[in-house]
Amino acid sequence: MIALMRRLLRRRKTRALAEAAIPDLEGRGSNPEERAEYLLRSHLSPDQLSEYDATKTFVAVGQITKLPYRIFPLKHHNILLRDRIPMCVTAVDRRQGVMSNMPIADHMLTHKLYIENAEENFLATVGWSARTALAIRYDLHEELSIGRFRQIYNF
Amino acid sequence: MRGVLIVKGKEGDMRTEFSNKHFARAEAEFNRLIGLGYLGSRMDTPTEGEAIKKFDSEAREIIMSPAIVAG
Repeated sequence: MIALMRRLLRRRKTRALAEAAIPDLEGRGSNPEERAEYLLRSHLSPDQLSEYDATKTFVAVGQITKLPYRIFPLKHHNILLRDRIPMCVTAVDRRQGVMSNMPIADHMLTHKLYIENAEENFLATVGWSARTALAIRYDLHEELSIGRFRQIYNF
Repeated sequence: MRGVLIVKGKEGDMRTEFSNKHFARAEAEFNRLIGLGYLGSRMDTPTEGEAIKKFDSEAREIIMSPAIVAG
């Protein structure tokens, strides 16, 4: 019995060592955050990537309006339209009816894909049309600089 | 031609490979997620894509992003 247990433990240890030694052929990393970061980086344009490396934020240009949306590394409240107007949009898991618990880089990529490929859907979630976004009076809103945004959300 | 369906989730991205001849599994997963409100993006280049509602077996890469809501 003891011999059997020892053999099982040895086998488990060998397997764990073998798994740890598996090379990361795609450079994607092994944990969800690393893989999400790899996926995000591989889908950023050169400009977005250099900005992301410098500030951990990047700008996505709207498919229809061509307006700039700055995306921050947060799961929600992470978008500033024209670096001024905060937009509160978050990805959800409809099966559970809660905010999606994807890694933050996946949230950022989700927002980028919506803005660049389905801006109408994106704007509709906050009750806007493309026309509204273009016509909005920026001077009627409190102006939030990026620095202020960073201060508020503490990242 | 080979393509990959990428689904983002809490465990990171899950990948399902398909070809233009063998894509039933990827198509079923795509349709299931579209039904849940996901956005399907066919990536023509790594940085440029297009939203799709129907599975494209000729695609090189399709990324499925969860639905978004205000809040």
